[in-house]
Amino acid sequence: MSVQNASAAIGGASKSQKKSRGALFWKSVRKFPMVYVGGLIVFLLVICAVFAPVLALHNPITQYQNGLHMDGTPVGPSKFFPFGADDVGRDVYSRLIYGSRVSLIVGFVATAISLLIGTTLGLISGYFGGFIDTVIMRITDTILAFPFLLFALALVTILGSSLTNVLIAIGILGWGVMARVVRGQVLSVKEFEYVQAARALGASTPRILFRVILPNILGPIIVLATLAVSQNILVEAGLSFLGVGVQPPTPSWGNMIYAGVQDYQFAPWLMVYPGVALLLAVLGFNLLGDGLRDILDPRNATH
Amino acid sequence: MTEALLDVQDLKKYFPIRRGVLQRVVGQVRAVDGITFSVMPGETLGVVGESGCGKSTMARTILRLLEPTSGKVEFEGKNVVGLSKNEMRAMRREMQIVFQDPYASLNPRYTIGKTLLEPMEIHHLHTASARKQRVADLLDRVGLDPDYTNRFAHEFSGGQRQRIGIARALTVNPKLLILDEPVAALDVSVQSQVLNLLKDLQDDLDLTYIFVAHDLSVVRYISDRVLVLYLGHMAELADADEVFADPLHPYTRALLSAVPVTDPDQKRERIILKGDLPSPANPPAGCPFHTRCPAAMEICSKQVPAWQEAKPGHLVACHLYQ
Amino acid sequence: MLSYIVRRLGGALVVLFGISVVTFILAYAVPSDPARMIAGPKASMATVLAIRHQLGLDRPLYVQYGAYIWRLLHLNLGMSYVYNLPVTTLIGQRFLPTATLALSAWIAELVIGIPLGIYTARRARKLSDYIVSILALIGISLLIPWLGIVLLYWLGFKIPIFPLGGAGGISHLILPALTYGITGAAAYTRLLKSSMLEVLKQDYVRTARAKGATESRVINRHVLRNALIPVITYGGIDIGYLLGGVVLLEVTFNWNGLGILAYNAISESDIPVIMGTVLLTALLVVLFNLLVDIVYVFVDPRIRYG
Repeated sequence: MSVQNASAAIGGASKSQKKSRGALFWKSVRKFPMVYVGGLIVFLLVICAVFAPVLALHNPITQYQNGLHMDGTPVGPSKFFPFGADDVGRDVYSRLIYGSRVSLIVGFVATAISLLIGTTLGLISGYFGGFIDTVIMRITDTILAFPFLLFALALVTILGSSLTNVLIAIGILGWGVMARVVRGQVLSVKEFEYVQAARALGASTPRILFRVILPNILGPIIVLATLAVSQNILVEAGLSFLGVGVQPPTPSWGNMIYAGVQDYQFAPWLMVYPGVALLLAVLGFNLLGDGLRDILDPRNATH
Repeated sequence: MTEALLDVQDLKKYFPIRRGVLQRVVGQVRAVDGITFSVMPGETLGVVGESGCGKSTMARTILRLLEPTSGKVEFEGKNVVGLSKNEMRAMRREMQIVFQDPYASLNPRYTIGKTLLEPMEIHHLHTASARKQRVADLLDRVGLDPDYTNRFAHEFSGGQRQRIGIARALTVNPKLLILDEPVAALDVSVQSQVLNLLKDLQDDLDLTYIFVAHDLSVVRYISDRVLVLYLGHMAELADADEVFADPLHPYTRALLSAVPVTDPDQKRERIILKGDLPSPANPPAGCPFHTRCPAAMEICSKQVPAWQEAKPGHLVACHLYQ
Repeated sequence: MLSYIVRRLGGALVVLFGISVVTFILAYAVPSDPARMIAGPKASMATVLAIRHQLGLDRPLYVQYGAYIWRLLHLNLGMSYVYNLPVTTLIGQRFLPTATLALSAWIAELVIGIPLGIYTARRARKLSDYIVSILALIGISLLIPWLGIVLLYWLGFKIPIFPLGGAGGISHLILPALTYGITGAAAYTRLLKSSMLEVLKQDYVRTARAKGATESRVINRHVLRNALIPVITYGGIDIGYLLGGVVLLEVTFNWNGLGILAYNAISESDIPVIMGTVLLTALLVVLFNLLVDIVYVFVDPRIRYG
């Protein structure tokens, strides 16, 4: 049997192996069913944010007279206001739908900023090592030393309250953990001989960093990013609750909760619905991130 | 006399050992400690030694995957050490490497096609369609089905992966191939297939090889000349047949005595070395081998033996022949 | 080992320097003119310039930074624009309440998180593991003030077991601690579970079982001891979250500590107070991480400290 024939035979076997690898992935997804739940929640959230104008029943900032009782207290859930009205007569349901936009924008954009900074610094730090590594890791330690929420609070106060500044603050404070994790991954991947081979072939450093190493550490980065989205949504809500961040009348779940606190006794819907929406959104990303981590963990490999 | 293709002179690679509060350099691991040899076009130089003797470090230092501490590496008369980034990139077309581990040496995220295309992209070789043709040719050349371009590394066996690794090294048409234990991780039956492939390639493409290995029978099969390393130092260098017929250095003799013999009636004295390989961070004074040498003399612990010709074309560093 | 600790100390010093630079930039270089803030919007330009000169704001930045460090070393964090009191005094008054609250919150996290971690590890892949894990995830997904207010309403107002916020005895601490415990415990649960599962696979655990040790002995003597090591590291990281979360806790439960101080300072743009609290909390984080690093040396014999 010639070499060609022999390898063709093996090739035939590996074809079925390729198919079964996809199957193995789905098998491990079935092993961690919560990923589906998380993914579904995230999907619905994105639908809400994108199609907010379609899904909302009313304008989220219009104050309806029939949203308030004669004594000025908000009306409860009804046909017209499914989740009730707020203290100035706005539709809670529609505000909730629009509020998902703030949460998602902060979740995605702030995470993207952190990811960009953290991944780049982690790659450089891990790949070059030595003095550059020391400097970058000390900067990372410095960033990580500031209590996230408090520092974001201070930063937004100094920059001024706005959605953009919240994005920037959360984004430029959140990269510490990412830089550390990426660096650790790079340290282990760069020892592989395929990285050495790329160097021997004359690949430039950016090429090695972004086209050879980065694709091989994408798994942990995706997990980290997913969990960061959930954390950033919570931080935004926390900042809004403290009155810093997205300013009324623009609805965000955090400022809706804050506005509902005083009326919790007689108008619980003001606080309960945005709280539950926030819980679901954050839980969705957490389930997704946790599940992806379990699936990607080689110790849980099905084969 | 023809010009040497590669001329290595007094090559050293030390790794610093850092300790203490300020991470001061308190010592050095002398992985490669003064190696000099040259390789003629078209020949195969076998490099042998125990694990930890610095042969892999030497291979990587020649290619500047590790920066040499000192010494010269001249390729066709041009010193590779000290070349600028761009000059080095061009130089990489001339010298390539095949690694030991067929599993770690191929990028798991690349298809085989991408693995073979990338080097040509880096060096801007050929047009897009010519590249594709070349990938198919190379796969065929190393004995793989050209239809495999869309598969990933994990779909192949160790031997097939090693063929891919060889094909990758050949994409840029190098003159010199450094083979860093290319068959050590393979099954014996596959080893010989890959060795034969390497021999064929050498004949067809006029390649020059530096073949690093710890398996003497493999080295004997493929090499024209053999260099024996011990603890980052050269012990012996001669034609392959000469080394195996008349080993001079006690270390080479010990290595050879450990090779299994095919004839059970043939009696050979097994030389068992005393002790362990000393740490290259703290090499013995004098001859690096004297701590384990069965023929050690007083002078061996005091003076480094000179590197000299004991017989015509047979170089050795040992006080027995001074 | 000494050299390891000294190097950690060196690293911490570098981080402290970094913290001072960041806070300096934020406090002095970025915001709108502090002199204008002190003088008030109606003050004349001359007054503003005078104050600016008095504060040294007209000098080059590095001189200002030097002066800033000099003041920090003398524990001088400046004067609050609002209270007209030294920031250190304000912080000093509220440090203990916040420390008490943070400590209780941390204990609550451990008390909830660690037993759940052990439980889920021992029941891994069973239904009860899934249920507890999801409950823990729900906990981590809750907004602190939201959970706090719901708890306050039900356990303080509807069924008045606990006081409705404010400072006082242990009863005042329970709801905030519980709130933080519920939202923070999952991190410990998850970490302990995975590190226990890792340890349970080790040969020495199998050996212990093989020689007939009881399951509780195996868990307590062999598994927990090793599995808790990564949890200690997380404890160091957690202090940062804790000090941030304490702001939300204090505002929710009207606990008059540093969090409320910072919160009020923010609504009044009282920058020295904001920066003072940020600086102090960052300092605490550095100290705790240093402590964890040192404790680590003693707990984990495998650590290399060459």
